[in-house]
Amino acid sequence: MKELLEQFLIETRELVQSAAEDLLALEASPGDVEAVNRVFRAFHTLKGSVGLFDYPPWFALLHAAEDGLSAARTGTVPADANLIDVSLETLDATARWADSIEKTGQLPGGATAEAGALAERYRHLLTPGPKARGADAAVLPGWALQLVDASADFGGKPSTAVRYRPRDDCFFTGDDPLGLVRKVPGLLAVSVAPAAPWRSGEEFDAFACNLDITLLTAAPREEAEAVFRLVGDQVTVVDMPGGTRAAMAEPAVTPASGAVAAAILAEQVRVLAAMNGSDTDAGRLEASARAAANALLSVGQDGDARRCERMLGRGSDALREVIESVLAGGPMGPSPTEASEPTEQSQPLGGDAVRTLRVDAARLDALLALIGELVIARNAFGHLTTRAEAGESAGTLIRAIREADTNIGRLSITLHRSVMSLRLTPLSQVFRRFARLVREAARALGKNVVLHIEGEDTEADRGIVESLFEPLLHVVRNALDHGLEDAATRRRGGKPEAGHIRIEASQDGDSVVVTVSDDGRGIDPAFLRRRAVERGLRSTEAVAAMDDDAVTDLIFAPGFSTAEVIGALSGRGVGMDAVRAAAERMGGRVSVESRIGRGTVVRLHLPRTIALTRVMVVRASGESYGVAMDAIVEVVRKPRAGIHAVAGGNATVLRDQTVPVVRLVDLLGHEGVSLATQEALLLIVRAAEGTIALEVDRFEERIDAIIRPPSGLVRSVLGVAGTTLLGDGRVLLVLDPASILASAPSVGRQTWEGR
Amino acid sequence: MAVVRQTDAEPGAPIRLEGVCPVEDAETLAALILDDPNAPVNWTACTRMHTAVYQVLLRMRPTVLGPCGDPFVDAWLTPLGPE
Repeated sequence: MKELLEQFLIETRELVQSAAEDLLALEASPGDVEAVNRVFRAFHTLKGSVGLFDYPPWFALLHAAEDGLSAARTGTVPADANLIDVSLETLDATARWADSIEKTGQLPGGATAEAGALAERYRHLLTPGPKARGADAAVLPGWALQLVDASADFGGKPSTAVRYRPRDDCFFTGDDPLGLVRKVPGLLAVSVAPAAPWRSGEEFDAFACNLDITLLTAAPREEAEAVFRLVGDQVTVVDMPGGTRAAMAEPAVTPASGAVAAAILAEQVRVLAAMNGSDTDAGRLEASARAAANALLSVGQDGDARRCERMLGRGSDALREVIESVLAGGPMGPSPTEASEPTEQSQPLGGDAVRTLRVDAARLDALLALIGELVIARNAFGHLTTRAEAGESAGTLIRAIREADTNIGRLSITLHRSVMSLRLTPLSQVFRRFARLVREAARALGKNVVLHIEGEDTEADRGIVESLFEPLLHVVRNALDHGLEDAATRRRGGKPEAGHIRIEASQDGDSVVVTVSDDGRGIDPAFLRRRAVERGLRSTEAVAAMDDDAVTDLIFAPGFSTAEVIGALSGRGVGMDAVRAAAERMGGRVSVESRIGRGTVVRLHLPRTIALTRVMVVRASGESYGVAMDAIVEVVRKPRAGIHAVAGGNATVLRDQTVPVVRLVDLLGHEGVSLATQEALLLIVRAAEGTIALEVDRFEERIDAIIRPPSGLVRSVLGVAGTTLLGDGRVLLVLDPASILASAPSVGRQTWEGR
Repeated sequence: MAVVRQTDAEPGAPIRLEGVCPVEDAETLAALILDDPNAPVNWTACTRMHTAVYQVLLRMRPTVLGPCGDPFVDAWLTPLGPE
């Protein structure tokens, strides 16, 4: 649990950082669609990770932020200063809360009110017009408010609400959940309900616990937590601010529900009242219950939504009462007591988290030995200088220098490898987080899912492991949400009722392969073809010409979401393109394989370490550029006569294959003079859509380099994979041919269609 | 064993919970109620009830007779009866 939290905090800070940068970039260049997308993705991921833990106000805030940004993506609301301001403040709050959780394990006092206020600002952006009342709403979960309703002794004093969901198998491990509840001092109310609806028709397993226990106590939080400390993972504790019940139930103000949800609820009350208690019209009753429940779900009041659904069988009056109670007793504004609480958040919190690394002593010893060798190798140069001064002939000196250089080269590579091995971390760190995630998501979706994890001992660089969670999360969510069918469909298809998701890792040479497979419905290429045309991503002819594998690969295209309905977990159109982007950022790639009815396999090939990259240095229009060797298929010289002008560009024939030829200078947008050389120098590179020939002026050298990711000014330049230093001290821009081609559609498209 | 029912009981005769009812009683109780869904459960003599036993009552909703002898259940977890 602790490790999980640490990971979460690290990741949260990174996401806050990158989202803040992107927001600032957006401020600098309004209307930057890609920046909006990046900000949205960061919030989407933040929301997902916060959802793993139980911080309801925080989650509700990020949910509201996501809605706001989602509207900005689609252009429904402008991505203007208002949105940027509130988003930056949300990020500030998020960073502060992460610090507080690191120090104290909980959100700071006042966080609930702050989250409510910020969330309301997002909602306000979405609903222009008359300002909703009660703008400073705090969000308390529905179950906690129900307890207040149920408690006869709730005297308006601050109290603590606890929700305890014992694990299914808790009886086997000797737990007596109610036994713990008995020990809670100062009980005000207890409620026990089934955690999931009882499944009728199935044999009742008396030893499987399916209970959702909620309680309200006058005891302070610490005392309540102490009772449940052994089952802390199954418990949510919420501080209930004081205030009279009347104050909580300020009529007709449902700030957390938002104006829309409140209107929907009020409408249901009207409809139900018109039914006058007659339960004859079951259809209308059901429609009302469903509408109310959906409205409540949409604003995160899941407990109340369930309450509405339960009332379905009890007639229109019962349902109306519930809706009215939700409308009246909805989440409240910050009460005087809470406002007067000492504001912990003003204290300096957090500070720089210490990043430590545990290292095997033997590995350090090996490093020390290498450094020793390096010092000796360097001494050889001193000796060589003396020999040169003594007037030794250049010929013998050159041989000696080359020898010393080789020696140092060998040592530096070994040293690099050893240091990299210090950073190796097992993937179990990431995989472990999925157990809980899959379990909870499966429960939320009402699916029965078995998760298998294999190869979690496989090691990869810390940086890779830390960046792996986000893309993996998207893939697993997709498998859960869209891949696996519900139990009934599976039964009809002759499959076992429980869906299987398998996360595997293995080492393959210098790379790590992470595979996520499910035995769900698979991806239907015909559906993808239709969708690609609908979304305007490809033309009808183009998709008809593509084979099924290429079509399946389209799920990684930006703006391509196959979800019919926006699910709670995924399906907002982010995800798979973010996965590909993340994999490529890490220097890896992702592929998908799918069979209808059999399931889907997504493979992430990632580098095991941040390795030395071999870079080819080329010259184009007087400048040197690097291109990573692994992007280069081959290097050819072609007589000019072999390059033909075709519709929209040039092409040449290479081993019986037509390859488009693009001049690097054109791609970079330089004014290049065409060289009247007899031969064209071509770099054959792999790009997203196939192979392409890049024409350059000259090949220079091949070097081993550690490519630094672009930062600062260079970051905003498209098509730059990073920078490295040349031996003479010059900075070399290392290009990423695939992204240059993608960002130069005119060149890319015409050559492709001319193929 | 704290779940009691006379072996020659007429259908509808009450099932009695007596003394401390530990986790094992859950299965016995569930089986008895399944056997005779109309039998009420008399819990006045039960002094302490395990969660699993309570869950059986919550799930199967038999008619319960009298106040529960377990003060905690009596104070916080009643009423409990047919839906």
